[in-house]
Amino acid sequence: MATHETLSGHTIEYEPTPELAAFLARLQALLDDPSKREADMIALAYSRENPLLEPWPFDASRGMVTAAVLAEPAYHVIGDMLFRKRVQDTGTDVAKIAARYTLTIGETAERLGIHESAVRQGIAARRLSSWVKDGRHYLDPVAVDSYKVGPHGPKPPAPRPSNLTPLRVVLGRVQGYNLKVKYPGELEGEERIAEHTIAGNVPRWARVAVFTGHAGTARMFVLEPDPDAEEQTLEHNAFSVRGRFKIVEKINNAAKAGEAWKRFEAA
Amino acid sequence: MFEVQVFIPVADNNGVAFGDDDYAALEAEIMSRFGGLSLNPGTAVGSWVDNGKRYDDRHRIYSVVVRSLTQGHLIGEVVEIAKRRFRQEAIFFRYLGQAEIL
Repeated sequence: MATHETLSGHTIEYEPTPELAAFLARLQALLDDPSKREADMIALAYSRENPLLEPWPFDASRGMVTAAVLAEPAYHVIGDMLFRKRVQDTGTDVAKIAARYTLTIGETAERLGIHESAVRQGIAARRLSSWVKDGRHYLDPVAVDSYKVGPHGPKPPAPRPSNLTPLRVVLGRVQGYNLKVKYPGELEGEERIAEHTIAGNVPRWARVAVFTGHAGTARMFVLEPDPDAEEQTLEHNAFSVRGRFKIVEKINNAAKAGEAWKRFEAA
Repeated sequence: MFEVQVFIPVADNNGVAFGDDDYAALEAEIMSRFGGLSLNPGTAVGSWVDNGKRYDDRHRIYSVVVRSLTQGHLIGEVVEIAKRRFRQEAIFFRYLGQAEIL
């Protein structure tokens, strides 16, 4: 595992392959060379020599950023390296850049009319940029206001709980397999069907998370009611979640699933 | 499918560089609407005059994969977001041999 501290005070953890590590070393050499400009680094960073990128459909020598690439921490290490060169090129005082970031997370949440947790999620998703000062995140008010403009700004109001689509859940752990569910309220008709397995019904819900684990792997699914859907079952060995639902989010990375599980609030 | 190039400044009108997170946020907005993007090699240098004062600036040139003309309005959304985020009165972009300033 490698770590990179960005100029804005964030820590990026990433796992470079030997090929990626060699590529990053080439970019670092350009960063360290005062005769090279950001334009030189961009030419390399967005070429097909970058192992992170997909082929660009209009020019075989160039690389394409996709959603999967954006999700790669190492891509943002490259972004920070370009930023450092840009600072050199423009002769910018870094303190002047940091001075743009004046809003706390609480102030940002109030300004956008959303929860603080949504602001943190926006920062984690890199849709909201922040600068870390003395261990606290600060945001740029201009950037925050532009976040409101797009249709992908604050989340819509939480869906109303539905009692038309009760969930039947069988959860617990056995032989290294486990399934757990975050749901609102209490299970109805709860019964213990094995030593470490219980079953019951979630009668009224708008949003639940299902976490499955086995042998070091883990996944998380976020479900919302879908009364028009056929009844379906999410199965994991002996465990299951059955009902009329749609899967609105799926996280296959164990570490990310764990973090998302901690943050999730059922409704 | 065709390519649209959007010119995004590297610094504001006071010469203060934009941070990596500014571009990351723009890229996230682009990616939520389109399937792929790239950065063109190099940067574009341009000049403009406002109230008798000349401004010189450099731009990154983002290329965006647009699958159909029916996605044109999404380019407009990205341009509006970019104008606010990068503190610009207008954004230059070009496509299919044409150029526009919005």
